Amino acid sequence: MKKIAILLIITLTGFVSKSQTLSLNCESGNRSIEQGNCWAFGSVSYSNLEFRINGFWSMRTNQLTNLSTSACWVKTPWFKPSSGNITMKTRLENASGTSRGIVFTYVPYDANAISSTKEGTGTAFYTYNFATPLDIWVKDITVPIPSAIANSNQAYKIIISFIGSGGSGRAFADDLVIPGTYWANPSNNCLPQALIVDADNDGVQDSNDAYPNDAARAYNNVFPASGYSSLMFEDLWPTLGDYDFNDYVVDYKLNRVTNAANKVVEIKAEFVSRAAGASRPNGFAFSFDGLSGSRITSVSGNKIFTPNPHTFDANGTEAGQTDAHFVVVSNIFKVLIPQGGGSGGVNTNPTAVRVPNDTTRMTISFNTTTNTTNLSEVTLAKFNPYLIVNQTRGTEIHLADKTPSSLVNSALLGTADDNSNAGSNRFYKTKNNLPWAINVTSSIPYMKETIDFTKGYNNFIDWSLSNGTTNTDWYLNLSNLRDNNNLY
Amino acid sequence: MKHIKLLTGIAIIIAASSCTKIKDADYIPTNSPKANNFKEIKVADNFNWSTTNNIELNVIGFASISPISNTFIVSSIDQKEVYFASNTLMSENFVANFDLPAPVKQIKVTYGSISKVLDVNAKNINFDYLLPVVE
Repeated sequence: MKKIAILLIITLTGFVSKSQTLSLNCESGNRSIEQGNCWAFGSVSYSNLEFRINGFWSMRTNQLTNLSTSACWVKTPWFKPSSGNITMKTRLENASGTSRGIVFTYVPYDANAISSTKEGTGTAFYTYNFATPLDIWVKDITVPIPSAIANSNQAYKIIISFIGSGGSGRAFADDLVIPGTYWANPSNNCLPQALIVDADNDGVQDSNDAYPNDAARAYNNVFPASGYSSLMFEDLWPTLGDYDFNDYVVDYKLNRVTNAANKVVEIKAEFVSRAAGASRPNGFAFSFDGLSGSRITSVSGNKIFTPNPHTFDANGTEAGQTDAHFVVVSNIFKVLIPQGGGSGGVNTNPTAVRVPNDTTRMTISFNTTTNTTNLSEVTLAKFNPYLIVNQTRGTEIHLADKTPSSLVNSALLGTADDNSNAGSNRFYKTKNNLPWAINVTSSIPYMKETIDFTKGYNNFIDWSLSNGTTNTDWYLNLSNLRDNNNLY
Repeated sequence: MKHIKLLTGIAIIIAASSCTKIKDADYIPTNSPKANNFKEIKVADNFNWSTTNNIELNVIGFASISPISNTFIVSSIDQKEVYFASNTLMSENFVANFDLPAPVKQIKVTYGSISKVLDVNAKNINFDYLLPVVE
């Protein structure tokens, strides 16, 4: 038990305020801001009318026609009272009425209270009565903090209630100052700053920490947020293919693990090779646009086969590249092995033998001391996967408008059906802007061999012709969106 | 009659010359003839073929009385899918950058007990911690 207690390093949320007073001068002009700091108001608004007391704004009550302390009130956040005086300025809006007063009540924190606020039973400890006949002059009120709560190191709230009878006049109040230490947590239902468990003491409480016993890791940032995404390639670039997009089909998910400082610690990537409707032994790799190899300390889990068209730096990234490039599988036919020998399509002809999917799990470790990486540098928008065709390192096929690597054979760009123009950052598109690869945020069925992609997804054409503004759900498994007869 | 012909001619010339040529790069073929297969599809230069949108959520920090640190989470409405998570100070201004499936039109932002649902109708959207005053 003692060991558990030692392991569970307890830290304070909210990091203790050094402020020794609570104050409310209303100059924000917006009660939402004070509410954000856990003040509460009941039939008390902010007013900049001429009867305001100081500055541009004061508190203004509703009409004081009730002697109940729950009619018009202001309530402090939880705080730890110290000794001294509560001070406040107040005035009445007019001199009509029988009586007017202000009641001060303290409320203890009660962990067993049924209410979500955990407020215990209040104790009224001071009442200020406006002298009669009533007048409209500003009063300075001074109220001692009760000795019962001063310096008790316990959390309390103070409720300031405005009461009255006769007439319909209102009260103004301003420049409220209360001695004590703010002790509320706006991000925890305004409850007192509580002791919470942070076992690895990394500053992320265990309830939010995906790695509660690992100070080097805190969050999983997975793309897609659930399941897998699908990448689908045509491999005849720069010539048009049959647009069945099944020459290589790979599902993937990327978990970008970050630490409490929100820096990327590692990427755990899963690539599930599903189909290779190709006749050539292609490879598969990826990069993140603009991510330097110096950010990476190691790469593991990738599948490199002999003969190998790649060379690697000591950190596991591909040598000779400006950005960090990661080879996932150097020869897809070594993980999706064509049945019957030789090369040929795998898992695209329903009458042929089904080859099990192959999963490649890679871990890419990042430098976390210097030259660190933010999550915004490894987003999907910067994810740049590509095919390396027929073991020829310079022949790459990327998603539309994705930049080729430093090792591409640039002489192929803009040839045959390809309308790439490096000068205008236009890559891997035909003159009609058609791509050679598609990236879909869900894992979707792919086409049977030689069947046009649009014959499997009924709304794909409408989606593309609308410039992506309609039918954005074309890929989902919803009724009438797919023709399953054409899907593998 | 000659007058009428002259005026009609001038009107045609003015109407024709006021037409602006549409540049190819601006062309969004929403009224293109329907394609029958993939090869017949013609799309605009700026179409990116992506099924996701990259979103920048501009977070406006809140000056809490004492420093508050918690986990800032962007998720689906049912909170089953988390698109972004980071450890942040409540007072911090920052941009949460994440990728959202195109069909998703609303997200939920959670910071401890503070929670808001936001509409996603542009690449840049804003978030602040302020909530309506509860009486």
